[in-house]
Amino acid sequence: MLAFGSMYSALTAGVFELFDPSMRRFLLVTGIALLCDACNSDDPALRDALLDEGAETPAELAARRETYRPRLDLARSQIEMPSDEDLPEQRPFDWSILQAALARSGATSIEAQEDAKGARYVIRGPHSGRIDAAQRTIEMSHVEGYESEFDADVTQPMLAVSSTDIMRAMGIDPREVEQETVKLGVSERALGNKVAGTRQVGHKVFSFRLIRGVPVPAHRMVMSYALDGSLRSIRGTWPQIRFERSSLHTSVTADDVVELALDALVDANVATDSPAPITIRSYFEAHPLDDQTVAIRLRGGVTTQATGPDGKPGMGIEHGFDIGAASLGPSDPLQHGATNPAE
Amino acid sequence: MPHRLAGRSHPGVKYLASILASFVFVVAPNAHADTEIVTHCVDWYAKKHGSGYCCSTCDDLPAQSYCTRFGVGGDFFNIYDQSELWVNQDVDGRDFTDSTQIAWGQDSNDDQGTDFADVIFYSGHGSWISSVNEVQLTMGQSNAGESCRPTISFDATLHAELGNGGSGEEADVFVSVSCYSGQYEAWSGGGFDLLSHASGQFNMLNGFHGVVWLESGTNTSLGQYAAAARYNGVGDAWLDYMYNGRGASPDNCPTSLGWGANSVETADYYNNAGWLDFHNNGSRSYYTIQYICGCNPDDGETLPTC
Repeated sequence: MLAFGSMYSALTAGVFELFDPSMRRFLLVTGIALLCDACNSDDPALRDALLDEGAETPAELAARRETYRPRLDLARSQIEMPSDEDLPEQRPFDWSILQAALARSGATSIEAQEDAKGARYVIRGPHSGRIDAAQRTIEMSHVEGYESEFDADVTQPMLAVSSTDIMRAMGIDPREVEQETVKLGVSERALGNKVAGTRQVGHKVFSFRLIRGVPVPAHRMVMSYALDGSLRSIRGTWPQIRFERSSLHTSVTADDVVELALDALVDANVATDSPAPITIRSYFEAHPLDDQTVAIRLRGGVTTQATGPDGKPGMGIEHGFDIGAASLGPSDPLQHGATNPAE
Repeated sequence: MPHRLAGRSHPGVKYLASILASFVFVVAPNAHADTEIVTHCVDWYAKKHGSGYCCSTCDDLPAQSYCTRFGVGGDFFNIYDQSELWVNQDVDGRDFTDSTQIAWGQDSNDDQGTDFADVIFYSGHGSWISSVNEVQLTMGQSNAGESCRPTISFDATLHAELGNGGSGEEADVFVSVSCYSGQYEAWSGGGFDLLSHASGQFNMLNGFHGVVWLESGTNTSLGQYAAAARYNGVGDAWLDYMYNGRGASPDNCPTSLGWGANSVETADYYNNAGWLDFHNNGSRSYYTIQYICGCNPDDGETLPTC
């Protein structure tokens, strides 16, 4: 009887969907839809879905899903599954190395300050800033900005080594670091002069976090250097990951990820009237467990380009979806709104 | 005294108002507030939401979450006297337009005008029209007689003018998560020069050259930037946190535009100013733009390779 009822409900709901929303409403108001079991369901979501003026039928949803498929740009996609390499070691700060690195760029002291949340450190001297050792968050800059004291021929590989040494001083395993060294530039004009002078003022070494070859986009450490190679600023956060509370594995394949990405596009109601390519990637999303540690979870992201003013391509927007295990443990932080709502 | 403009369809939504109501009460803005932030975020556009909204071709965006993240990351509730968040149809052309440029402009209006606040944040669709060197920001509400796309750089028509001086004309820094808001070509063509009024101290615009990609992590990085720039690095930290790197193609290319008397003043502001440490940069006779050399965005020339 129950099976028959469900079948009847599905059948009548399916027939109801053949009508456009205004006709559905007319049928409901006139009582004709009393024959539609689902329309009288106690489930408000089902009832509302059927009566929603903008609701799509399952067939329409499936058709819309397929409109995205030709736009997938798999060549530019980065669907990386975690490797089997050992997890990185997470060590405490080595203050002697960090102080030595700062001292090479001018006399600087680091003073410890204790508060209820643990030790924090204040940097004084030509450099100023603060370090939260537990969170591995650093904000430090030099009062002279990028002004160089010496004529020196520093190379980008030398800066990469310097940056790696400081990362090591922070207890960061080099295996979880992907570096990119770039030049910092400025263009300048005086009043009434439309011709810009352009010059390099410094270097920046960006360190992006990878766990088993998969990026953790929220974690970065950026070190900036003057042209003579002296350290000018460190900014970033690199919190300790509790791997035992993290979701590092998935049973889905790269092909599965593509299908899940199409589902995510449907769920996000991405516009179908744009020819803009769609890319997919995998990444680890970080969720705070407490003031000092995070758990990470494997996710997929599908990026589309919104249409902007005048019909031109506008902002790129990434829509996230799960590809790893759903739970992070008995007190899953995701249940407490810890995740970033926009990501 | 703060007041609301006639014709607003919705009251403004304060940051996390429902959650932090009691806290907001404690630090409620007073009638003579002297540190203010105003944030404008446009998620909804006419393409989906119809008449009354702006931009019939624009897809919706997750802009509001960026305003919230910026405000919370910077802890402006605690460090400033007044924090304002306006979304969708509460974002109007008049808020970004100076009355000395166009008569209907009301950018000095406390609590929605851009120039009444020390710090301005905008997230929504930006656009750049190269033929007239105009960078435009797209508003939420379509109002008769007002522009849905006020300009922040110009060739023929400039809507925004910041830091005019005097009461309600005191903007210091503008941060924008929108495409083209720090477009290099517009800067090099002089389009941004007059955004900062000659008598004022509007000293920095942090935006993007080319199209912006809002990826997982971008929002978190924005909050980290807002936290890091409290005392120092208001320009330098913007590049540190907003560049996407990792060989991402195309790049996110953050730019930091400066105004001041000379290169020493603008460099000092870039490195050493912050939300609680604005500097006086002197006259408006020198213009700078800082960037990652060789950054290559979607829809914009590759930045100088230095």
